[in-house]
Amino acid sequence: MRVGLRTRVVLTTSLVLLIGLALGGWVLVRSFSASVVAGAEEQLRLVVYGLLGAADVDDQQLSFASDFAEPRFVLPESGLYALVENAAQETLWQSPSLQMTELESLHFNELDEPGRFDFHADERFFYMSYRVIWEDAGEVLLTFRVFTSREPYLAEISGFQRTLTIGVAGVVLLLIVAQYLAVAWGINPVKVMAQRVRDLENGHRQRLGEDFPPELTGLARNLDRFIAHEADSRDRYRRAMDDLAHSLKTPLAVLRNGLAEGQTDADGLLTEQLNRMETAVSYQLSRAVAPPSPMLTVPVPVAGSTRRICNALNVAYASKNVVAEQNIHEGLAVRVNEGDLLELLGNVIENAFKYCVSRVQVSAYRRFAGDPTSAQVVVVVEDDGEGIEPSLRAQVLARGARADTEAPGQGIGLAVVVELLNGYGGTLEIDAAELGGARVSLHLPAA
Amino acid sequence: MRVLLVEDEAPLREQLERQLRAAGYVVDSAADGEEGLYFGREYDYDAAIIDIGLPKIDGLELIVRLRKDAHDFPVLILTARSHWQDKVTGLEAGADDYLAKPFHTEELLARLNALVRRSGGFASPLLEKGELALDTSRKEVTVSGNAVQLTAFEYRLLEYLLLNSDRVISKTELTDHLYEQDYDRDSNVIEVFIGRLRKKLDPDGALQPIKTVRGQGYRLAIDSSG
Repeated sequence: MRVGLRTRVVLTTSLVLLIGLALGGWVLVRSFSASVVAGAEEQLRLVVYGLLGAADVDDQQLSFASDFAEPRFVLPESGLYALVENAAQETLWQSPSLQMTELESLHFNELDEPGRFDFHADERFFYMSYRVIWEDAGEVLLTFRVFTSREPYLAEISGFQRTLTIGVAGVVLLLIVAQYLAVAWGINPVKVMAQRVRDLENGHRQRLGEDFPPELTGLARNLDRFIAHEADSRDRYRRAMDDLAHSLKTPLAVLRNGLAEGQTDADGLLTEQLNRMETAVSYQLSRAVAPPSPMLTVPVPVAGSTRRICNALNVAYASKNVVAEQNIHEGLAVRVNEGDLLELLGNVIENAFKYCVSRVQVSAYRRFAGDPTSAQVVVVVEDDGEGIEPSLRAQVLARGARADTEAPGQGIGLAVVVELLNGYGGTLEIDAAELGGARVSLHLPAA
Repeated sequence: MRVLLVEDEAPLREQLERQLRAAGYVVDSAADGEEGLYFGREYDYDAAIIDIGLPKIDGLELIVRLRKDAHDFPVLILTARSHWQDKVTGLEAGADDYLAKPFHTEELLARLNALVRRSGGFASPLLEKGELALDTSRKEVTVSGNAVQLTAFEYRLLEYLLLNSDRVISKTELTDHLYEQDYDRDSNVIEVFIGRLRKKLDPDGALQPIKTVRGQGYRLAIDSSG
């Protein structure tokens, strides 16, 4: 089952919140109980000191100073009790509050050496015992035992627990509600985007728009670009196919008529039609092949592709002994599909190899055109051949555009390059090289 | 010249076979990479024409394997147009030249001729050795500037000797490179043709261009002093 974004966030954070607060509450209750017990111990110790101070042993008889007054010792079942034992564990004195209590039900600890406080608890009482040797009356061993009911302390702890639970529950509730609202607010733009994508699918919208929070505008913009690119590719494809169909019709008609008439190719008419068809297919297919979306293109270093092309051409043109100079910074990269880059460079550099006398020079530089997103890499290919006449330059680039009326035998390499470049928003320029031949500059989107 | 042709499209393969034979080549043709590899390993070729997209073993892979086995005959690859990726990887794999489909037969023959020439150490289409000159583009032979009329087979024989003039060539090698497989190897046709060639090139016996190396074969050697 797919769990929604909101459920995921609310569920996990609520769970963490609950566990965290429960753990915190438990620790608080524990430390509060410990401090309550420590308070009880301290209180009982003070009572023992009070008893010691008021006690007097005279002739084996224990008595208390008349001004010793602890009202809770007097009142039966008051909750605070005391008794004093001798060495034989016989009770010498007990507080009046003990009158109604069964002494057997009390759990006293056995004490070994004098001078030490012993504190412990059972279900009903906190006990504090202290053994002392009374030297004034000839070393009499006495044990003072004071104990108090646990009930008020337990009540205090459970009261604290109750308050804490209510408080924590309130906080948890508040946080969960706040969090739910925050998540709802936070994912609202995503819901809006999802709705708009549905609208796109239904054809109610053409683009997502830009009114999204900054975290999503990039995604929305990229999606819009992608959609526009797709639409553009479809359009290119359709137009190229239309043009191809159109430019094949004439030569096909000529060939069919020629066949019907039993015509031979003596005057080269049929060959000419075949050439036209070949040119039309190559050119229009190169137009139809849409380049991938710029965001899906990884940066490709220009130097590497140029090197591969030059090495390959050096093999293919081995007998010409062309000196190919490459002056390209290794870090220079373009956002062009690698195969397309090889196609572009291959066609242009091969022309240079074909028409040069002995030297070809390939260089590249980065050019900024104001906006950093439209930075370009310009690849310049020069040769020392005869160059291209200024009057012929436009014609060279336009070749293929009118494939159905074109003279046979003309190359369409540069026209294909121009079409491919168009897909990337790039351009091509032809002028004269310092080496003496043609200089072809390719403007490509920089990475 | 013996050429290996590896092309999977039957109509194109058969057409090329006919045209190559008409141009005087001895042709072995294979329809897929596996068969191409078998031929390439089994026989010694003067050149190979290999299509990039082949069944069983891809054309690039075929070139790599042949080169790994130290077969260094020149290779011409056939690619679809607008596939520079194929051209570049093909040349990187060890091919020597490329030709984009569709192509004209004349262009293919010219490229093949140039490759064979290049591997024989000649940069220009005119193969010269002392007083002897063979123009591969016009298929003409001259000795000291005088044209010599040769039959097609004599021309091929001389071209082969000229392209491999740095070494002694056995009769078997000549048979392998100049005749189709079903040729009867025991016949002395080669000796007869060598004899005729000697007579035509050097009627008065002054040049002695084709030397017989006893028990080994023939060698083309011309003293430039003449």
